[in-house]
Amino acid sequence: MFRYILNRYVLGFLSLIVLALVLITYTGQDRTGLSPVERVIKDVVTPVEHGVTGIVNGISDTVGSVLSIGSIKNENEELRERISSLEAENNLLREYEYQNLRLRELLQFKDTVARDYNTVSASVVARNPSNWFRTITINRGESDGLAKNMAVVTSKGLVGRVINVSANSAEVLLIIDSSSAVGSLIQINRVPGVIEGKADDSGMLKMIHLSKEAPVIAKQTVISSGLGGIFPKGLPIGTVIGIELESNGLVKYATVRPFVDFNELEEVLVIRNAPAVNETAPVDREGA
Amino acid sequence: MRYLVISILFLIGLILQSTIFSHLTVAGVKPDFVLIMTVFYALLHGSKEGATAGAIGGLMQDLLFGQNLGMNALAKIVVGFSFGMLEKKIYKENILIPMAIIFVATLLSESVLYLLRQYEGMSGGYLGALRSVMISAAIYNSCLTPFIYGKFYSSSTKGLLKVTER
Repeated sequence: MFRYILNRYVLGFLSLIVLALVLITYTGQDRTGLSPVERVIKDVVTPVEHGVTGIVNGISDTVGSVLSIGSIKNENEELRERISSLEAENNLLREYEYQNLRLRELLQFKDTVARDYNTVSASVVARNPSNWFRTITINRGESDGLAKNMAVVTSKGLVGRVINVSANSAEVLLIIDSSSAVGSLIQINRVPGVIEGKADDSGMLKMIHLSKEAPVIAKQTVISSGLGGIFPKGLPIGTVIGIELESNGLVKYATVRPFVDFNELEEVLVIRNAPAVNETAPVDREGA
Repeated sequence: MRYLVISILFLIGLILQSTIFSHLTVAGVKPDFVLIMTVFYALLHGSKEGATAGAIGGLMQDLLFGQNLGMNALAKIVVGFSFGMLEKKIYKENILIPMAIIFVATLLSESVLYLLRQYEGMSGGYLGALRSVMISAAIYNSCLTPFIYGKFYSSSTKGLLKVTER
C-alpha cells in the first residue's frame, strides 16, 4: 500500500516537474507574444495593482509632505538660485547646440541622436515580486501603441526595454536584470562595451568586453551605443565607479552606477519610434 | 473549494508583494507570500496537496510577472512536495518550527530559481547569491511567519482550507 502511494505521488511530482520544464523551454525570451491566458490575467490584475500603488504613493506623499514643511522654505530659496543659474547655463547650451547643428550640417554628418522621440508616458504599477527578476509592470499596452523591444527611459537615463505587452499593460525588463544586455560606449572616448545587470542584487551594472588596455577610468559616463537596434544611441546609462580584471586576465569590466534610481521609479517614458540608427551606424546584432 | 480559496490567497499575496511590499524591501529582498503559503499548506496537508498548491501559486506568479512560464512553478512544486513530506513528522503548534521550516524552504526555492537563472546565462557564484539574496530573503520570510501561520493553521484545521476528502 505504502509503495503504491509513494509511487503515485512521486510519479505525480515528477510529471509536474517535467511539465514545468517543458513550459520553461517553450516560453523563453524569444517568444513573440503572450498567451491568451497571460493577456487576460494581466489585463484584469493591472488595474488592481494600479489602484493599490496609487493608494500607497498617496499615503507616502502625504506623510512626506507633512514631515518636510520645515525644510521646504530653505529648499525654495535654494531652488530659486538654482533656476537662475540653470537658465543661464541653458542659454549657453542652446547656443552651443545651434553652433553644433551648423557644424554638423557643414560636415554633412547625420545626427544620430534624434531629439524628438515619439514617447508615451506610463506609470509603474507593479514590480516583479521575485528576487531573481528585475522587471516592472507599466499601465500602457498595445492600445497605446506599445510593442515588444521598445526602449523605456526617464529624464535621467535608460531604464530598460519592453519584453511583453497585453492590451493595457506591459512588462519592462530593467537594465539591472542579469539577462539584460545593452550595447554601450564610454561617452568621452567612445570605448565600446556591453552593459549588463550585476547578479549580486547590488543594483549596479557591469560594462563587459573591455580590452585590458581600454582607457576606462572612474567617473566616466556610459551611454547607449545604438548597436543592436533596440536602444537608441546616446541615452545616458550611468557612471563608471570601478574597474576590475576578469578572472581570465584577458579582459576587464567596469562597475557602473546607473543614473536611474530603480527603487524610486514611478513614471517612465516609452520610446515608440526609435530613430533609424541603422542608417548611420554599422549594426552589430550581437551587440545588444 | 479549497483550491479556489488558496488561489485567491495567492493572488492577494502576489498583488501585495508587487505593490506595497516592493517598497518594503529589507536588505534589497522582497518577501515571498506564495512560498510561505505553499509551505504552510504542504505542512498541513501533505506532499500531494503541497505540490499542487505550489504549482497553482508558482504558475500564477509566472503568468503575472514571468517571461519564462514555469520557473516559479517549478521552484514551488519542489518546495511544496518536499515540505509536504514533513506533514506527519512535526509538531505544528509551536511557531518556531514553521519559522525554521520557512527559512530552509526559502533557501531551497531561491536555489532552484538561481539554478534556472544560471541555466539562462546569469553570471555570479552561488556563495555570492547565498550571501546577498538568499539568506536575507529567508530571514525576511521567516519573520513574516508568525503573522500568517496562526490564521492559516486554524483555517486549515477547521475553516475554508480544510481538506474534506482524503
